[in-house]
Amino acid sequence: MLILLAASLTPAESPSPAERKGGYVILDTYIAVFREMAAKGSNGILESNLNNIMTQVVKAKTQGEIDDIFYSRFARLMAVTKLVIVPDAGHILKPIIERETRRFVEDILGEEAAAAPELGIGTLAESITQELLNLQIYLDTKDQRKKMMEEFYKKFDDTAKK
Amino acid sequence: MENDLKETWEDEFQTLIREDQDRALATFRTENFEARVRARIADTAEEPRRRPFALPSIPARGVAMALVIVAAVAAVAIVFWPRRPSPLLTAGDVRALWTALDGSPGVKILSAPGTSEAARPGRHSELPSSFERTLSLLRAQRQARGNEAAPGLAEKPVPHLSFRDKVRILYRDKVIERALLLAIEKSKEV
Repeated sequence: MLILLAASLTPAESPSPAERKGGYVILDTYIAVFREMAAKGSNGILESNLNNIMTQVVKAKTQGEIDDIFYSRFARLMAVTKLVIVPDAGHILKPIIERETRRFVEDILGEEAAAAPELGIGTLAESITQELLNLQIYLDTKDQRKKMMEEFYKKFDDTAKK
Repeated sequence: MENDLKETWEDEFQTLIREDQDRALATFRTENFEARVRARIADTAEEPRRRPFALPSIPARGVAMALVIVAAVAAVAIVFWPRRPSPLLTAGDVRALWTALDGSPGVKILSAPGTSEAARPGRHSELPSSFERTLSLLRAQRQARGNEAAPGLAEKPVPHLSFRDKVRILYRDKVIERALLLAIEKSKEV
């Protein structure tokens, strides 16, 4: 009886524990891979692990463990990471890499950082770091955000009825 | 006269022969001649060579009999054994095996081209029964696994990192920047 009562009081669109857990695990895995790379210094480890992470991300999206917003932002993060580390000896991909990394930096750090003549590794790493923490905060506040939105719409409806 | 002399010589010869015979017979009887002869033979005979490995002595007749029996059994088996169209696995059979094994624990098939051809109904009826049973079992297990919910990311053994842990790793250790520097240096070497 108590379980039924609790279930009826739970908001219909609140994220399931599996959804939150999936996003957290993806972020933890990404950071763990970079941590291992920084410790061991093997490029093969990083690239192969990134591929594995992306496979898991797609699977998590299919199974509903992560939502569209998290998937979109994390997939972009993965794409930028891949563009940066991909071997491009003939500079064939340079225009694409330059354009996408600058857009990414602009969206995360702002226009001033992205307008620098030479986009350094430090700036790009700062952007990735900020985005990882932004995604963590997104997951942390997702429940509260939905709850606040529901309260706002409820007040809006009440005001409209009056 | 001449005849008498001849008879005398013959008598003496006969006497001498008889005496020799008697002496030889006496020697044979008194001095164990048989034992002495055997001892002499044993002394002069060569010792038999030893074989490097002590093999059991098999009579040649037994070996020949065994060879005849084996040859007869082999001939009967060749003549009367039920013949199959193709005792070896065909390419389709191998693809069917790949399809069944793909995704099994510990087995990773890189590519299994033409699996649709291998999955044709009735194709496996030509296979040996044990092989066909194995394929059916693997297919059933794979289907059962497919029906179950695949494990999500939450079940992976990834170390949990709190927000504080992430900030420490990302800002203090600067793992992103260090890893990117290493990765870019490596990619330039390619």
